[in-house]
Amino acid sequence: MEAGGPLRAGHVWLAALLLLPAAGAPLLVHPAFRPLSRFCRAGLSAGVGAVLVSTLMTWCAFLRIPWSVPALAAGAACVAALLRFLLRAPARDEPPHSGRRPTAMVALAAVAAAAAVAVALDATATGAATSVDLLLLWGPKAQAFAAARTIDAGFLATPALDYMNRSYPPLVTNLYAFATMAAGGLPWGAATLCFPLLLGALALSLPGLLARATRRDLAAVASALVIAVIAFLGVRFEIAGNGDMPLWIFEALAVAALSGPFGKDRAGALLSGLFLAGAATAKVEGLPFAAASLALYFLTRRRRISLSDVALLTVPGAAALGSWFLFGASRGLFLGFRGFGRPFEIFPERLSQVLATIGAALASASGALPFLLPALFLAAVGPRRRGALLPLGVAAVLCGFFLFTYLHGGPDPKEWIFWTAGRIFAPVAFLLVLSAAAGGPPPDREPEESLSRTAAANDPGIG
Amino acid sequence: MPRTMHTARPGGPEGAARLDSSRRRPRGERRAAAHAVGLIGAILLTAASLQKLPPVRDLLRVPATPFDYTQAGEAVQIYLFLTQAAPFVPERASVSFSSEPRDRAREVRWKQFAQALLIDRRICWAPEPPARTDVLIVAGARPPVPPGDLLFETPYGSVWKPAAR
Repeated sequence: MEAGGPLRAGHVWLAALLLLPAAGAPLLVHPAFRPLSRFCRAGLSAGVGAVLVSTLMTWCAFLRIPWSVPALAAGAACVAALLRFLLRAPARDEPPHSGRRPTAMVALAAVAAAAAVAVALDATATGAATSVDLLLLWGPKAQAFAAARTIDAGFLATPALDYMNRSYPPLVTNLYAFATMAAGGLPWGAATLCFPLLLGALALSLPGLLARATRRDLAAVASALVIAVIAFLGVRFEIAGNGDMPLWIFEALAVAALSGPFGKDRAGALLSGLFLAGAATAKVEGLPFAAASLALYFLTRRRRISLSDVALLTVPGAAALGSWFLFGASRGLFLGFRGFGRPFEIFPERLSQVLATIGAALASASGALPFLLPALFLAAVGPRRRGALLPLGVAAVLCGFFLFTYLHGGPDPKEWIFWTAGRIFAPVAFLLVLSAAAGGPPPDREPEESLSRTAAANDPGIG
Repeated sequence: MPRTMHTARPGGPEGAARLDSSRRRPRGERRAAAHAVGLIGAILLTAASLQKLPPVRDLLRVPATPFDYTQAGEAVQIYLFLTQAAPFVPERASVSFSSEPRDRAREVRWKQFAQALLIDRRICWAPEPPARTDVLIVAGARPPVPPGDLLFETPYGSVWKPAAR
């Protein structure tokens, strides 16, 4: 590539990803999302667009329809527009986002979050956070798929390339292929920048979602802590360019939407369903996360669960993951995710060794600070509302699942655990923070409501 | 009835407000403590992340490879070599790998990187280099017996057009 070529390709590659929020926007401009700020809706649009584009790409691959960037973006936008018909108009007394000036605490928290994103950006841009897996599997798959304009079954079936995990879910490779088709190549530096860019998108959208569950100040502080936890773990365990950051953003947003009152209405349920689909198709461990989230959601919501709730929460995931398994089965590639041996062929005698190695792996991250601080935050908030249960429960289920997985494998799983534990346990850290936020004090009242209540209290003629 | 200031009574509005205020104080302190823990925690973690950044003089420098400051072993050398060697490996050429001294695990790692960096070439995955490929890449030192015509070389490896047999 001639001088200046890689730089231009990098810009085009990243610019192509801007089609994702554009694709998701038709859904997020629905009045049902009006209580969320513009920044929040912009971030959420990117997540929705990513899931819709990836799902469409997988279905096209299954149906042997060649990919085209404009057609995929337009198709995803049409689906987003159609999804609006599933939502009701908001109740009249649901105020739009008021655009109130931030308090000092909200401003401080925003600065703290921005600082964390800036450090992640610099670490990535200077080559301090790149994942080797970008070159080993995510990148080569995306290149092959982009060249073939589909999910290349022949490439996946090559025995020598078995190390690339052919059954790995397709969201990350689909979206990388999407941008690679637009740019005419995969610039490695640009692919690594997905880590800080997604972190920035999370910093934009999480405070607004959490503010539906708790007071604005606490929502802002909790968001800043989540961003800092992810930035630290991402830089420490070198995740730039791999599937971890896409998984974490979908997990954080899904749980934030599900845990609060927002999860009780159709808009929240649809958003959660789409983000759970994103998590389940980003990495293998996204599937147990999604399953645990749904199970705990239905258990903790004691009200009668309607068929529409179930559908909104599960159909996106079924469509996204189902298309992948259909593709794999139809091409004779796989029937499900490849495991680590037979399901119950575990070695319980290794339990103490596994626990010790997990502890050592987590402690290697500055003395397990990214796990201890969220636990301290949770204790300081002292959550009292039922919303805290879902994130806590999901965290517990994930811990059990990962421990169960580690009890499989070869005679000495130490290296495997040390290589992976810091990353796969990362969601536990931010789930603790989300639990604090969801279980903390209820949301602020809007100023107009507060004023009207004060007027009613002061006017002896009222009430 | 107009509101007037009068002495607080336990059951009166002022008394209720004082009682509520005393209940609120512990709640307000708890809230402040939670905010402090969250904010300080975020700042501490961001400060700890700084340890991973390169030296100050390199903070704004474009890296030579995406792995310059990672713990990815030989990744920097392999990436640099293969991107520099790519112009000397024709498109659609078959490429085999060897190493000096022989190290199968190292050769596998070079092939995995080549799969990503030498696109549009055919990487030969056989453990032993096939008798005839278009290009042979040797990881490490120059082989004691040249396997063909030397096309490219750095201290990390060399690219050869194998001699016809």
